[in-house]
Amino acid sequence: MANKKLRRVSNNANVGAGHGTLGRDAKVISKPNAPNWVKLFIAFHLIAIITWSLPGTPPGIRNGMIPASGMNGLLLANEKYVKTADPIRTYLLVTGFWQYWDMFAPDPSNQDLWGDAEIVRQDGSVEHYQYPRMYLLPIQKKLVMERHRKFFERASQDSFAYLWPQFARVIASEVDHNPKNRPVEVRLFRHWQQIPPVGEPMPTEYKKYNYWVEFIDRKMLDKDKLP
Amino acid sequence: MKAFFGYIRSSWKGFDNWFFGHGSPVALGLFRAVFAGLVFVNLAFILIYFKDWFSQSGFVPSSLGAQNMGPRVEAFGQSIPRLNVLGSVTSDSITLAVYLATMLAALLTSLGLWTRISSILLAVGLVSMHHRNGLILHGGDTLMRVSVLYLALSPCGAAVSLDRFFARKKGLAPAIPLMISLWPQRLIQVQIAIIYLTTFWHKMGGHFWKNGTATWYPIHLNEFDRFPLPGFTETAIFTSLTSWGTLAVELSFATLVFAKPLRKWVLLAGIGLHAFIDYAFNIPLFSYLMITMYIAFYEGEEIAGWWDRMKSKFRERVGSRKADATI
Repeated sequence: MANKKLRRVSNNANVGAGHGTLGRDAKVISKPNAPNWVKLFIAFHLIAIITWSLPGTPPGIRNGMIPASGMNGLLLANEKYVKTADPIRTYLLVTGFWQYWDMFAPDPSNQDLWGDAEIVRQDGSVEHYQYPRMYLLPIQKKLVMERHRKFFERASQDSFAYLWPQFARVIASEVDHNPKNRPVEVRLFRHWQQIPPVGEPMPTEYKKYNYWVEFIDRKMLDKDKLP
Repeated sequence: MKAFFGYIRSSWKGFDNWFFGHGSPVALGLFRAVFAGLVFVNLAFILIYFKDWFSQSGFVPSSLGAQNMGPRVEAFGQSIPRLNVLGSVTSDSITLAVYLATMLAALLTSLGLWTRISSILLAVGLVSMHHRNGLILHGGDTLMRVSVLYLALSPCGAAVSLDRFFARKKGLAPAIPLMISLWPQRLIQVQIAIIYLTTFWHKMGGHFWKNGTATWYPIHLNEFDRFPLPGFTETAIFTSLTSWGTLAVELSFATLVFAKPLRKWVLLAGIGLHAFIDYAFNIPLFSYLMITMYIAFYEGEEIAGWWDRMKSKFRERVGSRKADATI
């Protein structure tokens, strides 16, 4: 510290300086800005997050079916050589700095989606189970249950089929309140409605698809119930 | 040629002074206080359904969480673990303890108490939660994750904090806090610009934003509904204005916001955009987080100056009332 010069420094010395308690007009022990290693780290970090966040190229270009030129050529090079380079990929994925900023992009979703299930019990009766549907919830519940919507948006996709058995088992566990008539089967459904283009009338019906049937293993159910 | 290199050198010096130069830590401190408070609220929301999202008997037991987001990254011919203190944890009690510790760290970071350690614990805890279950995350979560990492790297407790309050009481801190190198605050500014620029870029790859019909779709998604919207929001002109307006605002955040005379207007436009999103769509806390990020666009000196003006105005008013009462 002894070799550092004591001087008054401010990037904005003319702004709001000279009074108060919050902390301007400070005396600072300073040397030229930041050490070089910090600058190098910042430069690397910015390159990493910018290249990682840039959009990918359309599948045709990525597959080599359409020649890449101009901006698409740069994005393809970024995808192939920069974004996937070990230092960048490792740094972002390990530390948690990985990021995507594609909210409502490239196009906002035009599909309203929700889920429910049918529970088949030992006696053959079938009952309805409503997975939290935001549209039906009061505002205070919507606030705290939005994660359920987000989860279903992902979990109902075919690429997440590995989540379906557990999803069904959790539902079975939730409705397993009669030891004499336990759930034996859970059928998962997704309901969706396509939003038509501007000015066209809204559809009133939702399409429905049974995407999974899980036969419930009672031993698993009992195991889940253990404290 | 000499003039060219001189120009490059002076430009670099200007950039270096802007990005790494010293200034008041007040803006960073205020950002920390509000942002970490929102992270705490967010964690409290999720805590209500902790069993669904983080227990072994919930929708995402640790094995499925790991299947979604691999616990290790294969690189440099090695298998490198992701930052995740819950990596091999299958005990619900331990997971809950880590979750509650993360909430406590968020609260302490917001208050600015033991800020250096609490902000690091918050970052480690939040990143671990996100790596444990990435299936429930949205854009707001990504914003929280990268921002708490920035806070952990910065001296964010240097102002607007209990740390400073207690240090001053003990006579251990100067009346005016030491200035800091502003690179963490600049990093947050640039991060915001990257968010808006890349989302703008992604949107330019679609059709609905370019043809001015994009906002028509989300306002008709029942599952996104929050509050009822007036009839004019269904008109083609409103749809076009909001779609193209969104693009304009997003592009401005990557460019014009750095020009001081335009900054206020760009930030106000951003606040308008997020106020509409928050009213119309059920995306809890996202708009509040984004707007809180805007604090980083103000210098600590500006915020402190504003605070002092408010205080003196308040004192004047109280003083004149007292005088009136005496008369």
